[in-house]
Amino acid sequence: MSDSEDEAAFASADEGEEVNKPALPAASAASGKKEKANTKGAAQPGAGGATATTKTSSGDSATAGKGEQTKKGKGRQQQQKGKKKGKASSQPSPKEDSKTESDEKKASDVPQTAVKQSKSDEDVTPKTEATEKEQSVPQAKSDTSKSSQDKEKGKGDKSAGEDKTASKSDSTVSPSKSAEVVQSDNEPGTTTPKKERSAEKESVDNQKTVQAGEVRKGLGAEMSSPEGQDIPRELKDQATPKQDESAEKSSGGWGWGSWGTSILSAASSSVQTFTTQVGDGFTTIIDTMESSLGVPDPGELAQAKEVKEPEDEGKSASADGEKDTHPPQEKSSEGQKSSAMDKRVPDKDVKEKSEEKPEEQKEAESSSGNSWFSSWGVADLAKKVQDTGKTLATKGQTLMSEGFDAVENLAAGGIDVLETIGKKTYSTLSEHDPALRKTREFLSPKADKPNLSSVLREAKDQAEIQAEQEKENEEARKAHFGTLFDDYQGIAHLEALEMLSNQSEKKVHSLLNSLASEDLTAIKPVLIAIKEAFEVNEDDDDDADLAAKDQDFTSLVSQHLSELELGTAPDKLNKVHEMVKQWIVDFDANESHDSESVKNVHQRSIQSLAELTSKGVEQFHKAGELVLLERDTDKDCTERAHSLARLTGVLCHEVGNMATKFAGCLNKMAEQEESSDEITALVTNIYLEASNSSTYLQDAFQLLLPVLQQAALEHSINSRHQS
Amino acid sequence: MCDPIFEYQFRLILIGDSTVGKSSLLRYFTDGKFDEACDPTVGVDFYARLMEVKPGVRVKLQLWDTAGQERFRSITRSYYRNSVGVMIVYDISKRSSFENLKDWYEEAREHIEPHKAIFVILGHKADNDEKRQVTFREGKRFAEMHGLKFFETSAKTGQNVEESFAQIAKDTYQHLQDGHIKIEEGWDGVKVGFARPKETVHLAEAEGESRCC
Repeated sequence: MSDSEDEAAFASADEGEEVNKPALPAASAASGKKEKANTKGAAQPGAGGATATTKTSSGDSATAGKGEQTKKGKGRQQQQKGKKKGKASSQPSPKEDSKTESDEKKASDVPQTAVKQSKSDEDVTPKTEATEKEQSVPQAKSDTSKSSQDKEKGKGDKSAGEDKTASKSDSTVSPSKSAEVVQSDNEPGTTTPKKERSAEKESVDNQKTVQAGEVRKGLGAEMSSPEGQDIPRELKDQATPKQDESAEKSSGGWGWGSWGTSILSAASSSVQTFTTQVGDGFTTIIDTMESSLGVPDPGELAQAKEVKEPEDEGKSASADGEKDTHPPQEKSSEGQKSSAMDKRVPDKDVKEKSEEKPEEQKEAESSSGNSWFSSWGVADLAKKVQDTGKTLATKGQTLMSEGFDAVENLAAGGIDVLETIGKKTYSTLSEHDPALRKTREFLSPKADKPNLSSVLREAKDQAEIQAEQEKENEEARKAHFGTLFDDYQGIAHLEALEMLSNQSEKKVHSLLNSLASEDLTAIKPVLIAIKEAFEVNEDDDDDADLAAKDQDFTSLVSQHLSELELGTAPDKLNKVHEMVKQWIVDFDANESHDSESVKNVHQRSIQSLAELTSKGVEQFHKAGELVLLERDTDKDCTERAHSLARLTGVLCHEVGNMATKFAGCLNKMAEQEESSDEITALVTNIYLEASNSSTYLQDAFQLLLPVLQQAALEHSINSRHQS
Repeated sequence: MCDPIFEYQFRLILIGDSTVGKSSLLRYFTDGKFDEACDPTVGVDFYARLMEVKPGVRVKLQLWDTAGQERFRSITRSYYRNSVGVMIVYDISKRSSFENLKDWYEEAREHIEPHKAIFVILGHKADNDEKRQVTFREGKRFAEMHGLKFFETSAKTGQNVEESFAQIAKDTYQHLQDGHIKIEEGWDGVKVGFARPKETVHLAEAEGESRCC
């Protein structure tokens, strides 16, 4: 909210300024001048007045096609801009002239003209709300309302009102004189010059004072809230109620109402916040200025004004001010006419003048608002305004003359405040961030943040490294006996065999326990014989190795398996054996082993060992299963044990053989290649895995002991039962 | 030294009447091959395959292919205990194999206790629809009656083979994650995979580097 409000406040203030300038030539011009060049503005009005007429006339004629008001507003804006530039000549535009004139007149005539003008302005403004005047008027009105309370303000307001009235009068006068735009343009010009002259005649001092008042007003318009806040609280209170009223009015019956109210409320709140922020600086400045200049207390001034001014004026002023404040925003977003309509309605409600206004409004609508100023009702209002305005103006002149210098200081102070705010902002930002480095880094993408490309590059490198590792692992896996042994399901068979063995062992124990002592003595020799067969096997190992250097593996395996009479075929074992044999023959036949890297030979050797071992274990596993199943056969378990023992010997011998052959292959390659150290390590590894392989086979064989014992026990029991 | 190929090893056992196609099913699942002719299994055979149960988590399915013949029953029984998953297979074109489901199921449960296991019912030879003797609904109803998952599979067409194994693997993994199934000493239904000496170290380093950035 705060941000939006602030923004809205700024926008509204800016709009208000601009609008004010065009609408109320004098007031806006004065404000603009005040802001930019206060001192110059004072002197300028007089000179400007002369030129103003010409400018205005030209501007009016140029814009003749359009409504005078609008044209005038534009011309005023231009004039204001010119004034802002600091040129007195820029003022010449009718509005400016009228403003200046009006100001001058006000200064001189002040009370009467000012009041009248202000009244007329008020009256006109509602009607002409559609045009820029509305915006300008609002300021003036607000100023007037404020001024009513404060003499200073009153002066400023009066002056503004005078300016406004002057401008209005110009506009109004012109329409009255002639409905045509050109005439109106001419008329204002004519009228303005007179006014200017009078103003000039009256006194430069007055002008200065007026300008000072204008300046104050301008400030007030810009930061209407600040004045209200800074100065008497009463003003604030009044101002807020007025706004509320206006909001209500605007909302009443018109579609714009709700929209306008929201904007108004937002704008007012934002303005207040802004004023509170900047207000401190201004208040201090104003206070110092007032105290130094001996300016009377605003409250006193306001009271005096209130007494003097009729309630109607205050009401009208407030209503106008309210309306005025609303219009700028509305205008900015919406059509001026629509805003004017909204304002008109409230005006009607508030005052009798409003009755006149509707007609004027209608006319304005039809004739683009030229007729507004010519409305007869303005006269009455102007008179009333003049009455109050005169009194206010007299007091205001003095105050304004005094306050003019103060306004200059205020403007300077405002700049200082802005500068202070900027410095404070920077210091706050840089407090924890020396030289705003962090902020810059944060805002600039080229900081040391991780670069996407570099991140991707890292990821790619990592992926490559990972892939290499996986490749290495894969190769290591190929040469890893345990893994390969598992791949060939050797471990699974070993585990299954172990399960069988454990189960058989339990069974043997339970059977032995259940057997009578006679049966035990009868069966004991068999069990012992089987056990011996398993023990003998280990002893035979070395003999077998020595005996058969190059055994006929296939025939031996087939022989031993057939001795088991379990119906198991040695196909798998023989297959592996043949494969290895063939590979070695091929290797020997091939003199140049370029195609066979040392690594491949090593892998092949380990793989062969693992496969042979797996098949051997599987064979033992199957044998165990079948031994348990075919318990009815008369085949002696002891014989089977011996057969299995011999088979184990053959397998282990074959494993040794294979290892030797592969080692021979590697050694051959070592002679051709220089990497003998590596080959030596690989040969060592082959023999190591060969012993591993033998261990697996021995273990598998040993696991069969309880199986055979169980089979023997059950066979004996069965045979005994049968017998 | 060895590759960290899998997080866990699940031991699954296939049971069911002989000639329902257990070995064919496993052969198709592990090798993608199908042979019309198949020697009867002696005792138990083993197959293995890696499977991803969730992104980045691979498990090794160690598949125990038991002999369906009655004479091997005494042996196959001893293998139940160390299995975490049981797939009971019947032949949709052989009514008797379906009617034996209950016996297989009760026998497996009896031997697996006190351990827990995931059961799946597979109506195999689903490609042989002409000779179908067991409807899909019957198989489905049996499975639902016992709160089990059901698939009709075919090693010939590959229908639901992958899905059924994936299902049991995921269910097992989920039960493991939920704590319904625990890795226990002396029970081989679920084993932790091979240690991964190299890669874990590298991964840790890589992560550390990336965090530094």
